[in-house]
Amino acid sequence: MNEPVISAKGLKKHFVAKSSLLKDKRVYLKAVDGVDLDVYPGEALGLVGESGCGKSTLGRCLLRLYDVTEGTIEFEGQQIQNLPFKQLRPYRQKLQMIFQDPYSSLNPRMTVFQSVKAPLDVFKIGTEDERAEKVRRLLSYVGLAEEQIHKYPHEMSGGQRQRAVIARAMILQPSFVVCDEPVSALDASVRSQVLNLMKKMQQDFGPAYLFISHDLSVVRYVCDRVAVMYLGRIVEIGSKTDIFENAAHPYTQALLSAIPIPDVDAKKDRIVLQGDVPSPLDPPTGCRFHTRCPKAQPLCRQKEPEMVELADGHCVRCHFAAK
Amino acid sequence: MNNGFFKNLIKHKAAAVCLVILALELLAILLLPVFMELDPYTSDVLSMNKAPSDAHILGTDTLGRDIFARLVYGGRNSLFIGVGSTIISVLIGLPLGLLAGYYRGFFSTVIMRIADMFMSFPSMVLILVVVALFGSSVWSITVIIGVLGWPAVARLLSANVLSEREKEYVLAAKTIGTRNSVILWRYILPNAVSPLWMSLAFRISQAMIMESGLSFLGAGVQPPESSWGNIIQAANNIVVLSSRWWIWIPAGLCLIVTIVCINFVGEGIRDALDPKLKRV
Repeated sequence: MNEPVISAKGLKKHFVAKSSLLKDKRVYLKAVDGVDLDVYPGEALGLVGESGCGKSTLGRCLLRLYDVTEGTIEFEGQQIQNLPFKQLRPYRQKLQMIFQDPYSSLNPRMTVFQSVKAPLDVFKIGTEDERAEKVRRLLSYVGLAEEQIHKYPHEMSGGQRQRAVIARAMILQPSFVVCDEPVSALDASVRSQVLNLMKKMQQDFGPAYLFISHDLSVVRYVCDRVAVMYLGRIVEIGSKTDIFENAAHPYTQALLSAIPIPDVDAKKDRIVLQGDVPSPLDPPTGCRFHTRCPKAQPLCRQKEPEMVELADGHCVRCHFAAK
Repeated sequence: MNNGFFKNLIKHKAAAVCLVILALELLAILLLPVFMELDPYTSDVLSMNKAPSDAHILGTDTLGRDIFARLVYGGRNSLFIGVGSTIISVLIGLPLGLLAGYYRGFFSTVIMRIADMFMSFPSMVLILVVVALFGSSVWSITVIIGVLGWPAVARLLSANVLSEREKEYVLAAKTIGTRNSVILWRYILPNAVSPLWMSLAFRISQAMIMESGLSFLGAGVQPPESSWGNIIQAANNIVVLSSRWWIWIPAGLCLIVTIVCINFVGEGIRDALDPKLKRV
């Protein structure tokens, strides 16, 4: 594959959970704790994991919505992790986000038209008429009729709002879009329409997606590659077939076995994980998954496994994956 | 947002009626002295404490001054103090509240602690001290009530800003590279300000009540200037209170009606500004 559009190395984001004047008394919540991730132009990379594992935080860090604690983010060849607001601004055109809840991500006092036009206003692109024209064209592309574009968010349905949010993210023709559970707030009938719209837009405009989701069937439908996250780390990454057919990490296998099959008679070996996700305030030593892993060995408790490449592009963080 | 605002305001029945009453009152206070010969100052020693008659529509007070004229001129002062002091409170409280809510940390702590200090002071006592030091003119009362009112405005606003700034549309505005100043004015302020309308109306009426209280203590607007408060002060006397109703009841009524109306209009404005209630 060619050069990645965005690339994170050793990315960490620690939130202060308990502040104290003394440095060693502070307690940090390690939401993202050492993530290496490359996203290539035009691809859709799925990011899956339980709630609270740091998926959204990772997405927001990549867009510099949070200041990262450690590590580098390289976007189109430029390190952006420390850029101040002013120098970061040009990159904002290229880095966009689609939010989970379209209702709260639209300003309730702006019409959908105004909200979608806002990015053009911020970057002062074209004349007023050109902006309006562009917004109209894009809104009709995403399937909002002319009479709906001057409505307020609360006057629209969830699907319509999400179309508007997608239009707002796409109007600047970004090269990287973080989609933070874009369809989990929508009901099933609208879900596939919105997913198809997103796929179509990717073909037409060519952005790379980081598609955050806990719904594996959605990820399977949209994404080319999949990364699995557990407690602030990526435990397995690979192509869609690598993950869905040849999952190597026990956690991925457990996740996959939890996908419901629309067949009452189907028998499957479900791997039920014991216990809860350990607290990111105090992650387990060694392999982070050893507390719940059905295959855990004494070694897992002591030594953190390195990322190993099983096949081309299929990497896994487990001592026993190769066997 | 502006078109349809008035229409929505009218839909709130009580607010519409109150708006009309307030408008009439304002017109009367502003225009009556132009058309009628009203003299609130000259005392007619020959007709003191006279009940309403043809010569004096609402009678005369203990010094023989025309009550109606004093009522009209007093209304100017009372409303001026109410509105003026609220404007001052907002001018100080709005920017401070907005910034304290948006930029958390040291800055907001300092502002909020100062606000606490202001609020924990019994304002009546402070006002009396200031009035004793600087004299009690309409202006000084307006300024002191206004300055003492900013913490309430700042506190209410910063609480709302605090909840708005965490919403996703603010994050969305950040992703498209919007400047903080634009986020504050275009995104957060319009969404955080609506509960403030009620409180502004409430502040106007509070200031008017405060002025009346001061006047009743003799520290408010000083005669010969009149205000609704110092007209009522005449009822400090048991004879006036029990047998000369025309001296204090009209001013009291004006005060009550105005305050009730302002509160209703405030509520109407708040509802009209909320786009979610538009369809109702």
